Amino acid sequence: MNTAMVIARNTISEALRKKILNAFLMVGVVLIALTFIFQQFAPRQELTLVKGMGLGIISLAGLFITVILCINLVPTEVERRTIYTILAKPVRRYEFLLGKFFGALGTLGINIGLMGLAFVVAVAVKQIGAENAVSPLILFKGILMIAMQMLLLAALAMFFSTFVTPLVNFFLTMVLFVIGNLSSYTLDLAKNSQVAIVKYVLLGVHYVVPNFGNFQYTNPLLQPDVVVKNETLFLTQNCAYAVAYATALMVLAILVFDRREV
Amino acid sequence: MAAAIEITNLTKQYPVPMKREFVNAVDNLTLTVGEGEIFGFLGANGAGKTTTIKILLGLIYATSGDANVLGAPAGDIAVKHKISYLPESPYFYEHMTAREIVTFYAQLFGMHREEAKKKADELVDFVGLGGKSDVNKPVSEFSKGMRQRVGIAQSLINDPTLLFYDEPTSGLDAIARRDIRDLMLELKRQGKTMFLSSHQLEDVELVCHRASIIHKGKLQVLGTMDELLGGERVEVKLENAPADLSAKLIADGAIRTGDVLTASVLREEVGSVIDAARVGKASVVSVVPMKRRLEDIFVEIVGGRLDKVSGSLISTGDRPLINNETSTANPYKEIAK
Repeated sequence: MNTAMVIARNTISEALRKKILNAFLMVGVVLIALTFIFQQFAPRQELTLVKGMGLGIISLAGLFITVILCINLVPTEVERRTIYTILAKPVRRYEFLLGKFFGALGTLGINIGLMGLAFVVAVAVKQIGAENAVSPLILFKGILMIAMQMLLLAALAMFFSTFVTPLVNFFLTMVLFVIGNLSSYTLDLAKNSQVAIVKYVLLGVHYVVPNFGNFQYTNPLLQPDVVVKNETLFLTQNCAYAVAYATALMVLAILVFDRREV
Repeated sequence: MAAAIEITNLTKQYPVPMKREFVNAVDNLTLTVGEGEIFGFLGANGAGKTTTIKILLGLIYATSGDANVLGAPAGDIAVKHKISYLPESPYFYEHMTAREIVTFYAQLFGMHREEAKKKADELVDFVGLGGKSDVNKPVSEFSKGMRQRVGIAQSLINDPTLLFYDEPTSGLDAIARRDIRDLMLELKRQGKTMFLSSHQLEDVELVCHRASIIHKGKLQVLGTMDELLGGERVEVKLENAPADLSAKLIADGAIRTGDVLTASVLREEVGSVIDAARVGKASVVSVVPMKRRLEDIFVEIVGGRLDKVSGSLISTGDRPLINNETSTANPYKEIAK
């Protein structure tokens, strides 16, 4: 595991130098700062708007950073042949893959963390002098859910990256992200479908594709009247779901990569 | 001498796109490399050299046959502690300095950061990149020769027993090439085993103990450098050679310049020619072994003209001939009588 950590550190240091990822990070931070331009609304509406936009921006920037980073990690190493010198050393293939994955998670953690920090500071500034101000720290729950969603997405992209090209991977991951966000709809459609085959296909999609919609936590943070019954359980379940699903995907990725010729 | 590498009937097939056919990148290859040996592995582009090296390193898998490295199956993780690899035109993480790169690779051997840094400093100095102007430069600003030196530095981290070098001098200028060659000679002096794939045949001649040539995945030639280059022919110059000897030598391609006859004869015929010259009261001006160049053999094989070469090293099917197709009759013995 020490070897995986060495590779992870190296992956983070390389990824943080990637201009395109930094561009997404900058755009995210700048957009959060720009939420201050909404001055024409009532203070409470304005705050809701800032929170909603902030979480949306972090989610969108996180999505692009995750996908662009993870679809390229393994293919780039193969294409530029750095993988040869690494795997010729006493490095097991699973250590290499896990190193890359942990490196990607570290990079995402830094990116989402920075955007989250900018967002929380922006909300805190916005709340100065406001009546019934709620601690902006509760927004971290929303940011945690975005981070968990991205963890799962990163594992999905890494899994595909062990056997498909980055372009195919981009479309596959994006399509599954969209389908996964509509998971509750696919279940409803399956329940209401009269055609057996359609019903089973939709059920299959619902159960196999990761449920990215689980991680939506914007409404409880924006609307005081929306209450989650057991928030701790909800957050813990979602974290456990993301970690379990990501682990399963990484196990599959390791199995595929172990026999892959590089 | 124990075997460092043992390859037995190794075959690697790749599917031909859009067809139900396979192409043999490596075809029933069998060879052994001894410990402490510098072994040249030659072949044209696409001959199967890099494929063979990748199989030996466990980067790809053989379709059939066996490949053992230091007594263990290719790709064994314990063996990787004792081997190293320098790929052709190595690429490194562009943002890192030579020292950072070597430190990174050293950590992959389980070295702690400080120990790895110390080792990196030593090796960066050893390959001549420890100067003030180079040490803080990112690799993106390095020339090809400097990158190759970084590659060599990373290949020496674990003080390997066995080194796989794939085209270490390709694309380098004369100075850089000489420097890398000197480094390889130093490794030879240290008694390392090296599996050297190269297009630079002069380097192979200079550095290797033995060499092989593969063509279209098949082994064509294998032998020591003496066997390969030490030619089976000797140049003999005779003055005032007797008529019967002159006639025979000229018929075999000798050239007469005034009273001096210059002939190229097979090594095993030299004694008989000199005896015949003495019997005929001729003077032996000089006897000089004629050396072949590896390039000649290489071009003959790759160009498919090897069967026109007289003497040794002719491949017959899967079996490489390792020297010495001696002629059965020596016509000069009769003249010497």
